[in-house]
Amino acid sequence: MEQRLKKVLSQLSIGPADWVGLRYHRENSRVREVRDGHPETNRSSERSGVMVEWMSDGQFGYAATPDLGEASLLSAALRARTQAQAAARRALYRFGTAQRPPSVGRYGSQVKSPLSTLSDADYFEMLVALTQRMRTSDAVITAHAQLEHVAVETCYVSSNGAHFEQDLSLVTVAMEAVGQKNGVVQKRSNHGLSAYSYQGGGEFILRNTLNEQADKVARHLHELLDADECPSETTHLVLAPDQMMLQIHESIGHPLELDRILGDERNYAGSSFVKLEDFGQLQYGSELLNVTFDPSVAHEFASYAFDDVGQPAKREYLIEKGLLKRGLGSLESQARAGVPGVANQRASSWNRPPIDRMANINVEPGTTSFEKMIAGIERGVYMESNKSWSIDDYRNKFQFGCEYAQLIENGKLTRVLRNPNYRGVTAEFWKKLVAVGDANTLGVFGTPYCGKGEPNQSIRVGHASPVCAFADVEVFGGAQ
Amino acid sequence: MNHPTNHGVAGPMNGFSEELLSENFSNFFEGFFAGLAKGEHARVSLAAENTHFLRMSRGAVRQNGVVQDAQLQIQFLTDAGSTTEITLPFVCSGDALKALVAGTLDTARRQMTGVPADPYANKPSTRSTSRVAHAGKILAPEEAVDALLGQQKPGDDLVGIYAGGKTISALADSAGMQHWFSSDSFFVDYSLWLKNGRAIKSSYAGRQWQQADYLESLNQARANLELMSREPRVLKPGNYRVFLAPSATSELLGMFSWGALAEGSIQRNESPFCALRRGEKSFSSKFSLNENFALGFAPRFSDDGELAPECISLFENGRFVQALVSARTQKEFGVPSNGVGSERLRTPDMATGDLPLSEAFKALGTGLYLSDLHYLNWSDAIQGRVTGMTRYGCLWVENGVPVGPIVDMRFDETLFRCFGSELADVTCEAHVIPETTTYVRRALGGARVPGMLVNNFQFTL
Repeated sequence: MEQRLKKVLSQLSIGPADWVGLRYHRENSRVREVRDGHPETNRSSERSGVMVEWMSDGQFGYAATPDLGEASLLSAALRARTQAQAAARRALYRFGTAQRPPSVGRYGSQVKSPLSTLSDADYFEMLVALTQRMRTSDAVITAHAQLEHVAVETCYVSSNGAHFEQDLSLVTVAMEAVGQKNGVVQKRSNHGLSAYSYQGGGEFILRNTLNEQADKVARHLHELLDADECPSETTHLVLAPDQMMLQIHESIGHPLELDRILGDERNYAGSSFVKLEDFGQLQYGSELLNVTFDPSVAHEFASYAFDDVGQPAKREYLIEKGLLKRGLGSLESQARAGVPGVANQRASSWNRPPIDRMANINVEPGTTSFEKMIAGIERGVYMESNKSWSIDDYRNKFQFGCEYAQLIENGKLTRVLRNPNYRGVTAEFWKKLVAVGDANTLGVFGTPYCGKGEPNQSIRVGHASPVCAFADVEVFGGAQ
Repeated sequence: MNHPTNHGVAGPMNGFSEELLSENFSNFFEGFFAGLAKGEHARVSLAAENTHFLRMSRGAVRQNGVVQDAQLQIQFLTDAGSTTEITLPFVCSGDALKALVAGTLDTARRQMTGVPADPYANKPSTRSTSRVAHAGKILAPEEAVDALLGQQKPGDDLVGIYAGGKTISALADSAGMQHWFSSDSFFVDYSLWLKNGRAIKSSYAGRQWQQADYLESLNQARANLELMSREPRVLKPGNYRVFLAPSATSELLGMFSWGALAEGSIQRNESPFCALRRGEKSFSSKFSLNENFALGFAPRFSDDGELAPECISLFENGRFVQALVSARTQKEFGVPSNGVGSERLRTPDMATGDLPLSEAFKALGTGLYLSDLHYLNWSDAIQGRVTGMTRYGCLWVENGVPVGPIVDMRFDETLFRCFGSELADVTCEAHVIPETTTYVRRALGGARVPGMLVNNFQFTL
């Protein structure tokens, strides 16, 4: 593909002040899904195409096509130029080649065990067995298991010498069971909606590991069917890593996106309570809070070497000892905002332009063991695995629900609680962080579904976190 | 794979011709069906678009581009119950197309090897044909920037997106079903902002771009902004009487598609509407809802090869008539399918009531006028309890007079109260809410909904 893109580039008449980039994106996915022992999905999918970006008079125009023929790409380039020229008449900001660095290199996911060693029949046998394993009694109404593998190949060349290629291998395993007993209906999954998502291969679908997860889903589901409602009170809240993932995503990741702060997302995803002048000044959370943008974690879901405009990606502190230091903003947003950012201008596919996104946003481990954390709480609620999420368009007033909870009484985990929810305000919530778990409590998760942008884009992100404890949080149960 | 270039007419992007796509699509499915062995069946669907996306921020161009896309989806089934599905780009013709047919057949057969049978898969069985082509007048990409942003007034802070062009959805199956739906259409989904961070959300959509209509939409939004310049009211959590404007009603109705109205979910006891089915809960006699394809927003056929009737009555004067039932659910649970495919609302049409929209403030008296809602999710799915936020032009109203904007509030309320016990009135006018979703591709569809007056609506934060 590199040679074809370079050949097209060489045939274009590009003015000295202009710039052209071609980004090839091919995504092959394989989804296998079983419900109650029967196949429900057996799908392969290929999406591929090229987006041509042309910068003229300080404006980028784009044209995207699935037709990879040279004539098609040349035509697309000219259309991109036309769009750039049209945009220049009423432009928001004048960009330059500084926003499209001439990066060269390659990146590939680390795959320990190739997925091709198993056949379709093997995979379905595994998924059927997992659904059967979750149906441990007649109280389980339905059990569902899904495995998705995605191979992503990108190749990027530009008129100022950029050339990089990235190959990703992505695995997601989702399991869920629904149960009913005495009029109570409950749902339990392996870590919440598709959170078991990683870069890698067969090492993430080891039968023993997945069997353990299926057993835990079934065990917890039965506990939930006999559980009390989560009480309504203001108390200590302890969040497991698979719920911290959502908490980080919604109330740290999104509010720190510079394009939201600059106003681009006000018509769709929303704005932010964070202001540009807050960087370097705002005490975002307690001094225990350390948050990094880290695209270099080997198996985390959103690791990469370059973003989709060629900026080399590296680990950066967004929040250090609770102080806000850096935004989630690309070279374009950094130029507009005048604040430091990261390499995060990413596109969901070949047919969408890159915008400011999260990648891996992680809370760094602290020093408190899980046992010590629980022992230090007289009364509170421990929650696992997200099932409901809602937050305002400035990323402040939130309400989240979890699948599973336990009461904490006198320093011990006691009764299981169903329908646990909590609500709060971001600007106050992170200041209530009173304990951060040590590295032994760290969990690494991800999601394929982060939506944003106009036109809309759903992109993959990763979140790692230790168990964390918060003081004085409003928790409550389900409707009566 | 060889990718010969298509030759097409000018549109948002050259090389996109409906005629050529139609011809290539026919050649593909005819070749594919001809290659099927005895006991093999298939459905082939096409989703294509040629769209100009113009993203705007602060009254200027943020991103400007065109996207041409065409994707084939092939469902392959056997008498033995094996199934598989293949999605791939569709850009070829001639000999390359013949090679694509052969390659796809091989892939389908290979992907089914050793896979257990799917007992709920539905083989193609009915013959039906249709061809709908909605021609329109769409802005040329070169003209769009000036048309959209050229008439701004000083201080206008417009944010949003224009999407315009042709979308195509087509389906054929080996039993003889053949459907084609194409539409030239556009939408401008936008908001106007004041420096105090308050905004009015609006949209202009259709098939025939009329500059005067767009400017009228902008002027109406500007006029509505006036109230938003006032000091926002901070409200305490609690129960308030509210008027839900059509766009807010549409957001609440959207939760019906989160498993609630799906017969499969009801059968698995995962839906809040199980309580309606059992007669334990009820909706107000003022509430009626249809899935109405006669509105013309979406094709009656689905990718799953089902053909829905023109109109499906879901709720009639509060009575739960039927859920959305796919052929798959029919096979699994024995409930007759109503041909909807995905068991999600694609073109909901909520019945109007007696309240003139112009009297909404007066009828509300003292309470909250909710123009828009944001980020809805279940807070207790089984109980039909929904949480979400107020957004954009929501107002505090006293004695029938709008006072000013509110500081946005979080609500937590059940569908059974909103559409049931607390539903006081429904407006006699309904608004069309265009489908503006563009994940992967421009979605087809839209809703026609009135406003609702609700006696008690619970705010929690």
